[in-house]
Amino acid sequence: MPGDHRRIRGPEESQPPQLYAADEDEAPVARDSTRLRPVYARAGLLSQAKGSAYLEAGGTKVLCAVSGPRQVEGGERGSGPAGAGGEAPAALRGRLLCDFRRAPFSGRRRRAPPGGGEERELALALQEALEPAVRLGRYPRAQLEVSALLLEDGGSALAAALTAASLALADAGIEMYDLVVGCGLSRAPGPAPIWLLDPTLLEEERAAASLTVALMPVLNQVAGLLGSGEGGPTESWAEAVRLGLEGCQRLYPVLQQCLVRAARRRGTAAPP
Amino acid sequence: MASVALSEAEKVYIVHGVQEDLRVDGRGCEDYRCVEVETDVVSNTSGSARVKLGHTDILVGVKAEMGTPKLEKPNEGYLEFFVDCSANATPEFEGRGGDDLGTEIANTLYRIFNNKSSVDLKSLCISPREHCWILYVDVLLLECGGNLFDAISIAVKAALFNTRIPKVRVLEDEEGSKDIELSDDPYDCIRLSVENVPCIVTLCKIGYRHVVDATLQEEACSLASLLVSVTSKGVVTCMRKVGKGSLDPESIFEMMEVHVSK
Repeated sequence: MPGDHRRIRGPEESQPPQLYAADEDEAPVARDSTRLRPVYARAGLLSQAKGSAYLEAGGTKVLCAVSGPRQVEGGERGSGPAGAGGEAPAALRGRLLCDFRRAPFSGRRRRAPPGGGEERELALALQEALEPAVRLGRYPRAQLEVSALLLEDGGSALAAALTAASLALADAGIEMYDLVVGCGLSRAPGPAPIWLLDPTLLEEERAAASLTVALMPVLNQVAGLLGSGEGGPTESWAEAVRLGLEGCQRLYPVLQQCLVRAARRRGTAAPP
Repeated sequence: MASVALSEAEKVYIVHGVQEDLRVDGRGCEDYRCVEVETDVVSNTSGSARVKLGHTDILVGVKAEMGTPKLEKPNEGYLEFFVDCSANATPEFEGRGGDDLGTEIANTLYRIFNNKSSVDLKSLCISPREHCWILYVDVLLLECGGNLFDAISIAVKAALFNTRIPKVRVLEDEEGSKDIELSDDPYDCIRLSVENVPCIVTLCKIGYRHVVDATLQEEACSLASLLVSVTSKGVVTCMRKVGKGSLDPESIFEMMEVHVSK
């Protein structure tokens, strides 16, 4: 096109300069494999959402908001099998819709918001882990929407999102059987199969295998499990799951305190 | 997954039977149904396979095409998975209904093959940074009769075993421009080694016991299942919990032992 002076056209595809940088070997620092990074959790910070929570663990920052229960027209759902325990039959049970999003600046490379398959997979993992904890039978024909936004990825993002989501649900006053606490693990490449609890981004990138465990601490039931990579034999995966469950138990008191503080805050702020 | 309407009495019957290690079709808790595997069923593909596991019917076609390697891995080719749940499988999959299940299965397949040891990706490279083989693995669900993940993983392994990738040479001209030459002999091709390709084993938790290779009715009775992908050497590559219920930690460890023995 002759003389288009209004727009400066750059190249069509852009890449970050780190790709062309020389490989600087930043070896991850050796550390105690069972240490958990200090966690900052706060519930009840968004005014527009029914319930919300913000969780920071090391460099990972997640913000989660819950809205609902909203009525949903589930007219065409046929007669499904009746649920056990006298709760609403399956066709009338509430639904949990989870959405997981990464901010474009959360990782090393910029990722445009429709992140494709990975975000859908993590959203499904969130839903599968939160469903056992929420009493959906008490919200017939209603829909709860949970949306998690990852502001910065500093390692074990899914675990942080799970914890933040369950805090947000509790903050919204949704009936639950128990909180869901998530914990991430990763295994470094090499012959010695040591599983590291709560990996940082550097450790996760270099990992040969990674695992996320979600536990309901009081009931001692595993709500979610997702792992992949060259993990080695079953015993090492079993050991990793045990380590993860222990980590979740250790994290639980922090979350309890956070919810108590949020309830107190709400109590003093409410007009008499 | 596709659901089937079960009455309370049928559920109780199935659950009690499983506690006694007796399933509706007479199998024990750890027995698979009879599997039929056929390869080379579709002629237009580079490799294909069809697996029938009871009422579950899966057809997989693999097409090898040339393309540019990914920026982060310039010396390797890669695999792309696509799962299509056709409306023939169950009426629930009509229109866009089967898309969710399809993406879930495709994501699980990506996870399983996400490590270095499953498929030798370096052998799929033609010239670094410029050309490589991309294997498009397309899975078609023809009939859904329970235990989809296991059948799909068997079919993918068989199709990859059957894949024939033609040998290609890159010739350089005097000016430096490259030309790709396909060998004339149609039987001159490279085959992939599928020794380390893992297979998925799904264990459904029903009551206090777990069941291998569940039918649709048994899946409707179970609240949660554990999916593990294992290679023949016992190396686990992926682990996932599926379903709305929760699992006891002890039962997870028991189930993992069973997985490896399968």
